[in-house]
Amino acid sequence: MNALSICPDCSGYVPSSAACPHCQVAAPRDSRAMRLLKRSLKFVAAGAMSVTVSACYGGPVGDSAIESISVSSGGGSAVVVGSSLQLVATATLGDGSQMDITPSAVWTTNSAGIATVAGGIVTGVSPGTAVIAAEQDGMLGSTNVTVTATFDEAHKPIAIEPGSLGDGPG
Amino acid sequence: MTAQADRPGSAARRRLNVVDESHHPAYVVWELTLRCDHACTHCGSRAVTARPSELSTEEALGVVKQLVAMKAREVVLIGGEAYLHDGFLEIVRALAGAGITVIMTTGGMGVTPELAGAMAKAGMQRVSVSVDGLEATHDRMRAKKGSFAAAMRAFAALRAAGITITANTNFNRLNRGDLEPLYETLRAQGVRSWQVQITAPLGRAADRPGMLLQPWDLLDLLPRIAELKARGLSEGLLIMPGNNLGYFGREEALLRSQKPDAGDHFQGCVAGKFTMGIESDGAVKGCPSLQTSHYVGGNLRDTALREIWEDAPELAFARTRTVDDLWGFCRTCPFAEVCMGGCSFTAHSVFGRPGNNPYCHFRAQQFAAKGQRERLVAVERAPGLPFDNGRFDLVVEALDAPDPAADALPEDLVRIQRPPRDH
Repeated sequence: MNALSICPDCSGYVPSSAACPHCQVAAPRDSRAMRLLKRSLKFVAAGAMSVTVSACYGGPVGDSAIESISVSSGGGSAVVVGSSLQLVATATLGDGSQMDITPSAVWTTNSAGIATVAGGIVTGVSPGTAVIAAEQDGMLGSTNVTVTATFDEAHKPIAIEPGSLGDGPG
Repeated sequence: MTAQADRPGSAARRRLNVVDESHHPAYVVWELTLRCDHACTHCGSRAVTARPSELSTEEALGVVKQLVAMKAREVVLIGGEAYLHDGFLEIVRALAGAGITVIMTTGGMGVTPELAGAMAKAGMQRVSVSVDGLEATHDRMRAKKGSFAAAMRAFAALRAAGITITANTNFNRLNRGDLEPLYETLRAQGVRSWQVQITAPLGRAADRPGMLLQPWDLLDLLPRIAELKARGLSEGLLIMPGNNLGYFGREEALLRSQKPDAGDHFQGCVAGKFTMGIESDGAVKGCPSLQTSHYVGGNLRDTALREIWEDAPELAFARTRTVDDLWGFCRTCPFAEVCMGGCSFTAHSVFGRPGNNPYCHFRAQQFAAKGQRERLVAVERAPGLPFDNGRFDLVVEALDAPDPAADALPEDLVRIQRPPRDH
């Protein structure tokens, strides 16, 4: 089988020893060293000629499987009774890329009496802590959401004790 | 917090070395029944009612054993609708239990949460739902109001059951305008991979030539798909071309690869080399879409699978094909030795024999560079059987010649337009 090369100008495939049929850039005249290199590359290519087998009526490959799911919110993990908080589910795929799956994930709460969830939007029902989970493709990610009775509890200022931040300079 | 689950490397199972000559049916598409809850306008098998003598569950379980012996890696169950076969779940269980990856291609109409749960429990790993456009287009093409909504419900049921959802689309003149918004729709549904192909004049599509792409339409369609492919690679939606979408435009490496810069390209039809199709009455072909009249190598009711695979000439054509078997433009193409005329069933559906395929991006570009294009004209009607074809003539004309179907309405495109019998 012919080995193909990639045209450096247009990225199209080029049949061996031909000008690029896409952009007509002439094949450079090879040096002896380059001819030897190409011959060895051709050998390597012939041993690695893999394709992704498919068929019409068949299904596509299921690549880039979800490796893990993380659930987060833009600002804190507390919500007041009667108000809402938007969570975001992010999947990390097998190839290392990340994907926002908030609209497609199946969202659940472990306690609908404390918080409900739909499409990643958590609504506080009564004070307490609920585990909110996002599931897709058999993988699960979750986070704890605290529901408080009042706004002040949900946004309690952080108390800093003297010396708790360590010794300062000087 | 995250959780992990065991997951077979499905992509790895579909990677095969095409220069390896140990041909075996690694990837099998198995029509369990021709019974269907749709009668789609483009259906190659003209599915709606069952074939007269379909394999029973017991016979199908015998086929599973033969597939295991032949080292099948992945089996795609299709129909009609595979779930309308009485033994559907039992067959899924048998395949999965034997270590074969089981997937299904479906319109999704009958995929309820209960069925999806039972499928997952039986070992179904992936389901590809056919989505052929946005709602209006999809319902028109699949000749059923509510079909699109059912497909979306199927996605939800499958997701909830923990089955990986994928999609497939047949592109043609009816739905090509929906390409980009359909990507958005599928992505929002959580679809992980999407097989895109073109509607070939097979079965009911052969009766509707107005629906078919003309070869020069690929000049617009392929770059648009390539643009989405690049986007999908960064957004977790893998777009893969079916075998009849191509070939060798500048975008070939991008289109054909699973990962950026993988450098894959089309390497010829693999029918009977690594793929195999089984019709619901036990007929065996090298690829599920090949014409029944020309490519059935035997029937599992009376012949062992190994014997059909190894001895039937109908399954061997791609194993022995050379450039000398090509004709027309494909015979002279600089990619001939690698491409071997593209998809066999598609070429056969146009001209009644393979080896010359006008549905080719590179070919359309070569004609366009000369200010020309090729136009298909239906001249012979299909007989009206599953996986049948008519015949087309090829007219070479100016690239800017008027398009006779330019102003056709969607309802015109899906209308039956058979050539006269005595042509």
